[in-house]
Amino acid sequence: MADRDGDSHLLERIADGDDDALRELYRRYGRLAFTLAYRITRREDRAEEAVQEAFVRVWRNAGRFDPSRASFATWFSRVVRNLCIDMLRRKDPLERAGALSKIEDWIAYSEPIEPVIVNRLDVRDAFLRLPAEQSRVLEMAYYQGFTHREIAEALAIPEGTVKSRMRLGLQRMRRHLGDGRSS
Amino acid sequence: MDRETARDLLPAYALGALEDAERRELQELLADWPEGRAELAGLIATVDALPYALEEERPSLGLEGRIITRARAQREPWRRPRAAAPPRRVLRWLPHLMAASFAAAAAVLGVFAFTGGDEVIAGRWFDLPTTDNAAAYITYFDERPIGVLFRGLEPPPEERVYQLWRLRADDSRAIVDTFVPRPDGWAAVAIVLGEDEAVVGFGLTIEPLDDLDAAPSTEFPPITFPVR
Repeated sequence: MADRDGDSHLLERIADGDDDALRELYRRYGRLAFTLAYRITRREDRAEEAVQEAFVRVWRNAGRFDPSRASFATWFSRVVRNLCIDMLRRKDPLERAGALSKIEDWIAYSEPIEPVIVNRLDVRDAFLRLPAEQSRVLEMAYYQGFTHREIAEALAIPEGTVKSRMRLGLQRMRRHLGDGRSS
Repeated sequence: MDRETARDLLPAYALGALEDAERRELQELLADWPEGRAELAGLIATVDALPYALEEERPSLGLEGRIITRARAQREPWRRPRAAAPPRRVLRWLPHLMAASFAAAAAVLGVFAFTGGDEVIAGRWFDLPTTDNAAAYITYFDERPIGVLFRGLEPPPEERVYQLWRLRADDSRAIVDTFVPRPDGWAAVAIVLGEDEAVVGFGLTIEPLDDLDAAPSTEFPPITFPVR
């Protein structure tokens, strides 16, 4: 699962400067990246800017990708999300140096991850079945880049409630996805 | 931070919703806490599925081409036969450019326009305060810039390239493209703007090849020129 149909091979070719391989990678993941970026930024131009930037980073850093830590799709989604969240937080989108290492920090202390089933319909179903208060905090954290404190403040609820809703929401999704069927 | 507190924070960590100080503190704790890492791995795996929870959207057809063009632009300078030695003059003229930004750059050398049906293509020259004949020619389609043609550009110093930025009305900036002019000083850059993107000007900088993503280099102050 960590290497969907030769993503690692594509990345090796990209590291060697093969732009056909970059094109192929875009065809595999461009839409996923744009979907995520558009959901976060809510603007087509910003979303495309983030996707473009993410692929250029892949172009420049393909040799640094470690497939034993996470699948390319996972790693790449994190790159896209972080770029978009940076934009959302009104950080200068050009202050990008070091963002790649930030992403590495982010997963530095996770064990090699066995991805959950990524059947789009299952994931969507799992998310839509969450109680509204749980999906709301997940959405604010993941798609809007709020910290748990900011969420507590915005929703006028205790921080502990935010944390427990995050936990319950993720656990419920995991159970749902683990079964591969709705619970 | 004790482990109970840390455990409460794991979901927020997985979602990227911790403040920097908390994140660092938690990471330190996780280094010696295998159970915490195992729990976190499960949470992260679920978070990593969230992009798939979205209704799929399609990017514009031109995005793939822009990505490939930009990737190639970053590669080309290494393949390009180098001109003579790095021009010291570049170092000399660039410090003057900061002062000569928008207003000074607006010296118009020529304007023309023609109309075809409802479409209007127009172009306009802007002097660049670099060499005597350096200038940028902006082409507009339907009053929006679609390309910039440069002339009289000096070759950038070794291991550096020109970078064109678009300057937005909200004070943000974004890279348009990275390029090296032809040996005769000409270069052409296509501009693709978002539908509602308001651009007030362009900035031209010289950037180190190994750090193109950073903020504009302070070593060579930018030349800026207005969009109109």
